[in-house]
Amino acid sequence: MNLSEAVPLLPTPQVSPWQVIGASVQGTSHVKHHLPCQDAHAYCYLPGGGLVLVVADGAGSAKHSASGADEAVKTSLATVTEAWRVGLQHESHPTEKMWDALIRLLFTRARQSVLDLAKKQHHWSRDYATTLTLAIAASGWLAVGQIGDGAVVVFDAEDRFYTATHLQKGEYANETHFLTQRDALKQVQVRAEPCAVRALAAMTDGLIRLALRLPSGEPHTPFFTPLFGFAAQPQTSQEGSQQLERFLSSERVCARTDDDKTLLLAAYTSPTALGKIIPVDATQGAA
Amino acid sequence: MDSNFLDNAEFADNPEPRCPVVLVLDTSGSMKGQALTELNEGLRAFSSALRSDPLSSLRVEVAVITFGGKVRVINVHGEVPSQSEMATLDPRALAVRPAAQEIPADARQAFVTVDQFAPPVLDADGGTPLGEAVTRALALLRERKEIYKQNGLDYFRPWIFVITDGHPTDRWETAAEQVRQEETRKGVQFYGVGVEGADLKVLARFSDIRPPLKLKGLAFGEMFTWLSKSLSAIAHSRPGDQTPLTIPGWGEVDTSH
Repeated sequence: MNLSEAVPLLPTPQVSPWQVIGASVQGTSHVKHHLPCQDAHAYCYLPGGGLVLVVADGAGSAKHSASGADEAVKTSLATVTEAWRVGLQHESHPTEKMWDALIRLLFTRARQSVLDLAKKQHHWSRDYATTLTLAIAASGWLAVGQIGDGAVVVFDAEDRFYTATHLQKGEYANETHFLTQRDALKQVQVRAEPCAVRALAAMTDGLIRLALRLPSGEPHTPFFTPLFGFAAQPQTSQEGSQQLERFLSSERVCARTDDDKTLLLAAYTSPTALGKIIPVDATQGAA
Repeated sequence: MDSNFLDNAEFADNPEPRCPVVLVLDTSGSMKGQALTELNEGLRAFSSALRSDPLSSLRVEVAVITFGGKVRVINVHGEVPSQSEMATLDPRALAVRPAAQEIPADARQAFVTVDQFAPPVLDADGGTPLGEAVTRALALLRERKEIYKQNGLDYFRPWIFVITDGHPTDRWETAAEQVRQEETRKGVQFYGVGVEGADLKVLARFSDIRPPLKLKGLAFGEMFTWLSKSLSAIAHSRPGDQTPLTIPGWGEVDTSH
């Protein structure tokens, strides 16, 4: 069960130039070991055409990591909308420093709320261990923050595909950083730069081996081109998300990954936007 | 609405992360007889248990080092008969298995993933150079990690799994110290198993983290099934997962020392 239903904070998608679809699906190994889906995701639109994507991946063996992931996602979204309202929204020329500060604030708040939740429920904070990956596209900027092994992939106005941050992992394949660890805030990776984003994807590590080329971490374009095309086509978010969920549960995907997997896809679809959105194959697009 | 898009998504072809294990097996003279027969059977059970899990068979990499008289790295590469060979092969020929073949101590050749692992048939003879065998295992794992790094392969923490039934006949203290240090650095996980007659006090010196286990009778089959399950669990593990530290049914902790 995905605890964080993706609820846009502005309930009128028409006013946003973004179209977003997303799904979190329980991994086959989680089914086998009677573990819930410990991933969470959510997104929101910002006034003025901005977008925020958040995904979190609760640690496999941490007892309450699904709650940890959910809490981290909710708090960072709440914080970003608040900070936007009181601050950055009015900034005509935001700087890298401002974005950096915003992202770090979000991670500080998200971490604190997870620690508070653990305390309130009388458990160890490590029982709530989760990664957190967050992307904001607004005011002509892209700002990304990350702790752990999720990833954000960008398709920009110059037709470039790239992964926004370095893959974060330890020496061993089953090691990474979590929001709950002592030095978590030092481990947060931040990247902010002016960027005309045409499409954006945020994912948890269950999809990494399918979506990125390792060890470089570059996006596997044949994976993203059709998916971004899918996100850009006319559909309601609900229809799209259901189809995405079926795709993530498909045998084809499950044969390659047994972990929980989350994918949030966003496409910039405003007619006044940056021209044709996505390299869509015309024959497919017309169907 | 068009869902063809999703059908068209192609996946990156990344190599699987590897989970290396070195089996360090006592083949000294005292193992001869029933113990050795059971050990050889156990290796076969190990192989087939791991093979039954598709992901593990691609991720778990096995090397075998024996110590009986001298230390040997054993060839565990299976030669898979071709389709036509299979058709003409006399099934009885499979029953006659060649003796274990020694190969150079080279990490490129010593390890195979389980899907290609051929359990060797071991013979027993000579003394018990445990120290040298463990030092060799450490060196192989160090080289193997380098190979992973050079090739951009992800990997899990390596295992050294030692089975012995006696008292080392070489100087084992340095080897024990090296393993303890490496384990403290989280570079390796060491598991020691003593068969009846083993010097568990010596085996205990190889790890500050887990005490050696005494094999109940000759329950090699059970032990290797447990080992394959544990390695499978590692090979499927994700960030934040921990190795379960339950004491398996085939062994007991000796508290007499």
